[in-house]
Amino acid sequence: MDIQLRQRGRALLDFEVAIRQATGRLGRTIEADLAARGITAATLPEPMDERHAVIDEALAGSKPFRLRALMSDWCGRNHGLAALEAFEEIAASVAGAIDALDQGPTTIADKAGFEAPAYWSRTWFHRTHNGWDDHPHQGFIHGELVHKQYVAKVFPGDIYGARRTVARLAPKRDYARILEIGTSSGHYTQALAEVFPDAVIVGIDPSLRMLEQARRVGNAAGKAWDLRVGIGEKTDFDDASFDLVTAYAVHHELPPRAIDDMFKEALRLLKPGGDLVIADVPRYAALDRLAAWRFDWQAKYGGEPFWRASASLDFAEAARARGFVDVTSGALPPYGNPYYMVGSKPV
Amino acid sequence: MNSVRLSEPAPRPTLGVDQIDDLGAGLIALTRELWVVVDRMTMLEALLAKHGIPVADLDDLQPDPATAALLHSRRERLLSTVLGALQADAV
Repeated sequence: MDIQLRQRGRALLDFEVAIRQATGRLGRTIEADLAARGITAATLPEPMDERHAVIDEALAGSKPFRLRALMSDWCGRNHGLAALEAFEEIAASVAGAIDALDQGPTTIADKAGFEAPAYWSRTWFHRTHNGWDDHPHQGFIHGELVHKQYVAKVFPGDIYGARRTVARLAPKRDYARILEIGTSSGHYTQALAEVFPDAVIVGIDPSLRMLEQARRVGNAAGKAWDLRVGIGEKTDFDDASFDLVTAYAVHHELPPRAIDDMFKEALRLLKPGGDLVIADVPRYAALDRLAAWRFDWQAKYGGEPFWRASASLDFAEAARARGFVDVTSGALPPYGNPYYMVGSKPV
Repeated sequence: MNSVRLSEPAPRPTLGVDQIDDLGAGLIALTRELWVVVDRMTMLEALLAKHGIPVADLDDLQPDPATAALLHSRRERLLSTVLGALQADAV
């Protein structure tokens, strides 16, 4: 949708972007300070908690370090609230467009009696106040405002464009049925639809609010996506009912047991010879110790309770352990983000 | 003669050390609100300069590239002033 914010909402979000970018600049100051103290990737200990302890102790008197924590906490708590306020200003003017996009070929099947797992329902991911389903238009607020007006401006590169690159990593181009796990507001679904225009796309996500926004995205593009409320590690689909199972930036929101269950479920859902493509945050093992600490510090205080456990896993090994073959993995240039893994179900 | 009024209580600390984060958050909140005003003023000036259109139209005015650049520079200046006061000179 072409959204025109009103003055206050636009200024609020511009400010949130500015202060988030300032935390990034402070990060470089802090790391220069660490280097001046002789603390580098090569000197940091391997255990992540010890890494934090070494840096916390070294920078205990650093005002930039303290200030960055303050600013980072501010961003975590307030970016969603600023987006909510910006939305409330335009709610009446976009209501008609929202209603119109709720109708169309893309459908949502709500799951009667669905109870989201505790790791999801009890977590305010990204410190989003009251979680993903709090506001009746939380999907719109995140998809159109948080993602496009904030996230896209504070992370380097084209993080939504990277979804198309990941979709193209799939080994084939003629998939008949694709399952996307963790559809959210439909950014990756859109990429899949562009790369595989003839495929039937089924999307699953525990958040009805986010699926509602994905439905708008699908309808705006004239697509007939089949969206379902649910979780990827335990679905109702038949055995061997998909040619490609894929997920983008989902696994770091899951505890390790759910990740393993998801590999198991993906293997069940794929037809023999079907493919699995996963993209997620960088693996810590592929980063130097300072870079991994940088991610971990943001995750630790940014509403990402499962990030470290997920980023510490070797998805390629986990997929092989569950029976996938021809497994490859790597980091997408130029930023090494996301990490990707591609594998296949044996024929 | 001592100018201190006897009715004036002795100075005492009010905010505690454990409120320092709240103070910081309050300062950022103040900065944000001030930024909203600066933003609005800038847009108002732009609007008046161009057309003399009623101020009520301001909410829907979208910044052109030159105004957006001006907003950006003023926003960064305000932010760095406050953060600088908090000793984050490198910001």
